[in-house]
Order: sequence, then structure tokens, then C-alpha cells
Amino acid sequence: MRGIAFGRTRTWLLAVALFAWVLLLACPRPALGQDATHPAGEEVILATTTSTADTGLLDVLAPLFLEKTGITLKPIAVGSGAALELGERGEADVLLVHSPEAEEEFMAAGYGIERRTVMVNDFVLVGHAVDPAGVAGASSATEAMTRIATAGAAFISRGDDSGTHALEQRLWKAAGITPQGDWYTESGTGMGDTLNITAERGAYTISDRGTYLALRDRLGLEVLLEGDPALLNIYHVILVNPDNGRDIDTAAGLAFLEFLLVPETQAVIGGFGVEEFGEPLFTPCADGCSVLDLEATPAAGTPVSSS
Amino acid sequence: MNDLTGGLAEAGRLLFGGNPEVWEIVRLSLRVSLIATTIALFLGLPAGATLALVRFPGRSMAVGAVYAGMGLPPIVAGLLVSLLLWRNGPFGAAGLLYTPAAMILAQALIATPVVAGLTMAAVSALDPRYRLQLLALGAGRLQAVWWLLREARLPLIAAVIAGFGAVISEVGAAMMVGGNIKGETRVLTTATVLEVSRGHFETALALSFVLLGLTYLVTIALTLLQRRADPARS
Amino acid sequence: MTTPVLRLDAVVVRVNAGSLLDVDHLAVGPGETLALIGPNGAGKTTLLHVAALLRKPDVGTVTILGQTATTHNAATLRRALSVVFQAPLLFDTRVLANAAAGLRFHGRPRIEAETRARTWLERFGVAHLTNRRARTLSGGEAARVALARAFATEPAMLLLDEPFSALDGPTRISVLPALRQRLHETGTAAVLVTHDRDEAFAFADRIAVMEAGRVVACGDALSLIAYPPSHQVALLLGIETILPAQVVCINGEQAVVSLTTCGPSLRTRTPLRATAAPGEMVTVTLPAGAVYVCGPDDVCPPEWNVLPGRVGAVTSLPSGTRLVVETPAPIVAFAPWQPEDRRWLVGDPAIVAFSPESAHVIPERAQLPIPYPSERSELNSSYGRARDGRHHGH
Repeated sequence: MRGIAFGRTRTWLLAVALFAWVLLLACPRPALGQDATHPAGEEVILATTTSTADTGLLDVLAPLFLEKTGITLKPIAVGSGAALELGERGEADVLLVHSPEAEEEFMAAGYGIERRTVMVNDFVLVGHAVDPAGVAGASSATEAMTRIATAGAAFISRGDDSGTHALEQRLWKAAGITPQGDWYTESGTGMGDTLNITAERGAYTISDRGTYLALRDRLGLEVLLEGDPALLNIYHVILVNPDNGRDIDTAAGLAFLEFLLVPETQAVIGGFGVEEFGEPLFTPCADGCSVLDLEATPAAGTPVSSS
Repeated sequence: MNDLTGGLAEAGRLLFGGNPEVWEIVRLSLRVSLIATTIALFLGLPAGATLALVRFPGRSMAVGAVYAGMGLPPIVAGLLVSLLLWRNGPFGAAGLLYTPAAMILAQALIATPVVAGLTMAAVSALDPRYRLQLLALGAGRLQAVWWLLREARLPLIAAVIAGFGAVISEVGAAMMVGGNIKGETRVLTTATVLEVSRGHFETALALSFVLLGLTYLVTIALTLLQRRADPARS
Repeated sequence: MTTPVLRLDAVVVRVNAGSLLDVDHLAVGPGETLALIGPNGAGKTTLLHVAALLRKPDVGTVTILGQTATTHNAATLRRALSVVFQAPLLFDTRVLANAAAGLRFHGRPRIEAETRARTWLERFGVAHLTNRRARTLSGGEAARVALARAFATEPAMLLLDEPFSALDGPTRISVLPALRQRLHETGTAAVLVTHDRDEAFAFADRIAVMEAGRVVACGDALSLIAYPPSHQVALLLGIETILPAQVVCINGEQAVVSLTTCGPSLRTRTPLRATAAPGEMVTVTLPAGAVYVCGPDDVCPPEWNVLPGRVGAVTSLPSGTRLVVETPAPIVAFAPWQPEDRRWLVGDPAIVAFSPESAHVIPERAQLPIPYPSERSELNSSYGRARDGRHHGH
């Protein structure tokens, strides 16, 4: 009887000890570099795209922004389409997207009050070295797409209203092709997953260079076409119109917008990715990218005033 | 296999190499899921007991709702909570979206039907004469319910474990209402998703091992509790 | 007239089209034990639940210690009662906590409750199990703890629903006397529902026979056996010999009936409450305990019925040989064991004898319809169980 009692107590103690340790583990510890509670109490909600988040650029910019302005950046990574929708509803303060046509509609409808170019990267057409459709020799992106459609070679589309998807649709339209058939598949997922599917199926796809570089080693895919101006991917920052909804923090949004455009930040953007991939993922473009023959988007409406 | 062992090694490095970011993620995961499970306990246990013991009009529909709730996809839970917490939603003024509080809310929404449903099953499985015996001994209605819950404590502990397991491993709701913001709402599951989409598979595996290990710690603590409560083993 | 501990008046419990329970009147006095017997579905458990204030009847009143039970005072009145169910229903905790549970629910402080509980555990011989987990007990041990738990609150009445049905014979034999002793010592009234006729007889001052929700007979054991009010009750009580007959003539208190299954005439006592007319069809009941199997030298008093016949069936039981003697009407008797060379065999000639007073006549108009084909198997009639001096009814 004694022995049984002892065993019971020990098991009980062990259970309690384990549980206590787990609870202790869960207790928040103050100031671990990034504070859960903000002394200034100010936050800005940034709606952006998965490709931006996936590269890790925002993780680098957020602490710099906090240091500079005391405002905490809350990046919500959804697709460009969803980001614009959130902006329209006023659920975000500022947007960082790369879907020019949709953005222009957005601005025309008055949902945004300020739109500036931040950075550029480009898209690439990737596929296996085998290249059944003979894309590698094409002289333009449009021609490459035509070759794929004619050969009926497998092509994976994002299919999710993202900036990448919008660009792909533009290319099809320019080629005068409506893509349909067994060879054309919509993945409905983010860039990384889409690339994985492409690799698995020996297909083609359009990807932003950044995500492709991040996954390059794993994929076994090659860049078959690049450099065509039609493949340029321009990132814009858009300040959401405070009239879109309640509690929109325009001041904080503006602070972020300006932060992105200042030379120090632009330099950080320009250097991002070199360490990991050997080449930068983005080209900073706030003042125009002469390299790519692109001009800065002119400031819309009233001149921006710094706060 | 190389990946798995690599992941395991990376997990060790992340945890014990003093990576503060990972520890913060672990802490947040536990905090959110444990609090959500506790809320589910306080709401689900009485609800399940009531459904098992009280015959009221509309009971069948309530039971059906609980069982349907057990299968609620986490992303749907996230969507529902978002609708409430969006700035333009009814509770937008509280500013809870993209904070751990929103995640706790969504996870509580996921766990409560699980706890309620399993509690209801556990109490219904008791010999109905126990209730009569308790009343005959002089127990009041609420006293009788408490003693019945004690009788069913083994399956009730399993209900809590099930609730916890459902929320610590979900990603849809955490992503939707939390936003996976580094240092604020990034938990183990959402961090793993991010690492996968970035192509950092070893890190993703490492985080997965950490998540599994954590879940195991909590469930084994509860299982030991259950063992201790089981007379067949003492 | 002392106040009965329990009284049921005009109690009806309805279900769908019919009634589960329909009792005009039933009362149990202080210190009295009442057994409820009857086939499955007779309503015994329902009656017990109504009496225990665990179920509210649709019509009628239940009175405990002179107070009528209502929704408001039911909980308070229940404190004067204790219920033991078919299963011990011990809670998943220590034996001591179980035994003290009732007292704790009544609001007694823990120390007092545990002390009193310990006393009762000792009285039922399970003090050595005090700290054991209730789930680890055997059936018999658990039954004793359940009884200790029931007695610990010192109720005015104990209600037991077949508490020993799950126990094996030897365990039952050991627990039942302990229960009776405590009941007598404490003067606690009791209502025992049982399937076992012998248990009912061993336990109770009075027996109530139930059928289809009604109480069809109520009285002390021997009176019921001696004067069953109807054919149906005789079956339910397990009286061994029940025969149809016709009245031949009546001499004062005695009637001569002729057994219609081509048998001899019997001299019986006339029925107490109703007179039978000559030519009327009746039922004759004769408990086996009253029937003698005559030896060659036996001499019986002159007014006794002495019927020769042949042995139709022989059943050897632990406490005797059960014989069905065809006279030619089948009459059941018990005979003591014989040495091997003198054992009864089917076909042996045998003479049975019984006094006229032992046979009871039930007029036809007192008979209730008989719905069951296998009546006697409903009641566990292990009549041959050890009981002192019952073999020849003397």
C-alpha cells in the first residue's frame, strides 16, 4: 500500500512539474529586441504581397523603421489583389504592391491618395533545361508564351489575382492567346508553392526573380527567358485614403511611405539579398531607374509633406 | 532521411543555441494555445455537461451544431473572427486584429466545440443511475453535475488534450487574424509555413520538430495526470 | 396508529397509452420491511423511484414521515431516505469518501462525516478497505460499501432495488443477513425490490406482489402463501401446486372439490372472503411444504386428504428431492434424500397426504387473466434452499 501511494505522488509531481515548466515557458518576457507592447503605441498596417514577405525584405526593414520613427510595422502578406481589397475597405493604412493595372484602377477610383515607385525587380520565365517548347531561343516574352501555347507544354499559373498573375495575363493578352486546355493549370497558391509544382511537373511558369533565387537550389529549374521589358515588375507604395473606412492611420502610413523612399532605405533595399544569393533581389527605384529606363512616378495631387 | 536528421539537428541548434526569435515564437505559440484551450475548457465543459444532462427544446439542433463545430476548418474560424474584428466590423474599435488576442479568440472558437462535444459524449456515457444515486444521497443539482464530471474525468482530460491539439497545430486562423508578424503574432505553425515558402526546408523541419516536441510535452503532462486519475493503474 | 414512514396514495405514472404504475394505496410502517416482487415490467422499479422521490408521479401523493412531498421539499425529504441500486454505483474515489458522501451532501463537516462513515464501514465488515480506490473492489465488497454508504446517513427508510442480483450465491448469503441485522438494530424501515422469491421471504415482514403496474396482493409472507388472493398471485408467489377444480359440496367451513383434471375429490377449507357455490369452477393451491410423502407405516389423521399416485418427475435439489406425484392430478411434494438403493424413480408408486387447511380455494371470479406462458420461471423458485424445517411443512 505504501509503495502504491509513493508512485502516485511521484507521477502527480511529475505531471505538475511538467505543466508548470510549460506554463513558465509561455510567460512573456519583456524586451527581446522587439517589444510586444509599444511605448508609443503606434502601429501601421501594411498590406503587401506574399512575394515581398517571402523574400524577407520586410523583416529587415521593419526594425529600421521602428528605430527611426518608433512606429511598429505590421505587414500582412496576402496577394496583390487581396492587398488592394484591404486598402479599399480601409483595413490597411498603406500598401506595397506590384500590379500596375489594378493599382491604376485603385487610384482612379480614389481609394489611394499617394502612389510612388519604390523598387523594381523583374520576372523570369523558368522551366526545365529540357525545354520542350523551345522557349530559350525566343526573342521576346510574348513569343515565348506563344511557343508554349502552340506546343501545348505544361504551364502553371498563379491563378490568384496576384501581381504575378496579372503580369502573366498581360503577356497572354499581348500574344493574343486565351490559355485553356489540359496544359494550363492554375495553382491558386503563392509563388514558392507554384515554383515547387512547376518543378515537380516539368512545366513552365513565370516567377519574380527574388522568389526564384531563394528557391533556386532546390528546384532544378532554369531561367529560360529574361530581360524583356514586359517582364519588369514594379513595386509601388500606396497611401490609403482615410475616407475608405474607420481608424485609418494616415500619418503612420505616410511615415512608412517616406521611409521607403529615403536614400538610406533605398540603399538597404539595393543591398538586400547579396549575402544570401550573390545578387541583389531588387533594384531601388524611388528616383527613377535609369538602368531600366524607368521614370519615377510623379507625386499625385498635393505635394507630400513630411510629418 | 538526411533532411530529417538535419532538421532535428537544426531544431537543437535553434533552441539551445540561444536563438531569441525562436524562443519568442515558442512562448507565443504556447501562450496563445494554452489560453485558448483554457477558455474552451470554461465554456465547453458546462456546455457539454448541459447538453448531456438537460432535455430542453431544440437540444437536437444544439447537439448537431456542436458536432458540426468540431469539424470547423480553422481558416473559416479565422474568417469569422476577422469579420468581427476588422476596423469596419462591429468590434473594430477594439483594435484587436493582428494581435495575439485575436488569435486566442479564433483558437478558442476552434477548441470550444471540440471540448463541448467530447464532454457531452463522456457524460452521456456514464450510467444514468449515477445521477439518481447522487440525488438520492442528497446532492443538489449542481453538486450532482460536479460529481458526474469527476466520474467522467478520464475522458474529460482527453477532451482537453484534443482541444489543445486542435489549436496548437492549426495555421489557417493564426495566419488570418494574426498576420504572421515577426515578434508579434508569429507562432510555430505560421513560421513553418513561411520558411517552407521561402525554401528554407531545414529550418521548417526544425520548427516542426520543436512544435511536435512541445505538443508532446503538454500532452504527456496531461496524460500523466490521466494515469494518476485512473484507478486501474495505481 | 403510528405514522407510516412511507405512504403512496392514488399514485399513477403514465407512459404513452398506458400506465407504468397505478397504486391505490401502499404504506410502510416504522421499522417494517416490505418486499416488492413481480415479473419484469411489473413496475417495481418505478414504484421504488417514486417512493424515493426520484420520480414525480403524474397523479397522486407520496407522503414521507407524514409530510406530503412537493417539488419544493422533495430534496429535504430525500434526506430521510437512502437508495441502493442494482449496481453498487460507487464513485471513482476512495471507499471512505464514498461512504461519507451522503453525510457530506447533508452538510455535515468532513471530520464528522468520515468518523461516522468509518463506523458503518466497520459494521459491514469492510473497514480494511477504507483507503482503497472504489473501482478496485470485488462485487461483494462494493455491495457492502454501498450499504454502509446508505446507512451512514441514518435514514428513516432504505429503498433497495435488487441490490444483490449481480452477486453470486455465497456472497449474497453473506451480505443479506448483515443487512437484516442492521435494519433491526437501527429500526430502519426498508423496501426491497427483488426477483428472488426466497430473498423476499427471508427478508421481509410483508410482501407486495406487483403485476402490470398494480399491487395485486400485499400481506405477510405466510399468509400470502397460505391464502393467495388469486390464481395470478399464486403463480407469482411460486406456489408449487395450482390445480383447476369444481366444487362438489360445502359442509360448513369445508368444501369438497373435485379436481377437474380427472382427479380425486379433495377436502379443502372454504375460501375466506367469498363463498363458492356447488358446481362452481375454482382453483386450488397447495404449497409443497404442506404436502407429506407417506411412508408405508405412516398414519395420517382421518380428515386429511390421502392420495395415492405414481411419481411423474424427480428432481434432486441440494435440500431434498422434489417429486411430482400424479394422483393423477399433479401434486408437488418434497421428500428428504434417500440412500442410493431407496431413491425415488419415475413410475414408483407414492402416496401424498395433506391437511384440508393447507389447500386454498380461489373462486373463479377472483382470477385475473394470465398473459405469460412461462409463469413460474419469472420467479426464482429455488425453494430447496437451506431453510430450517420446511420440508414437511411442520
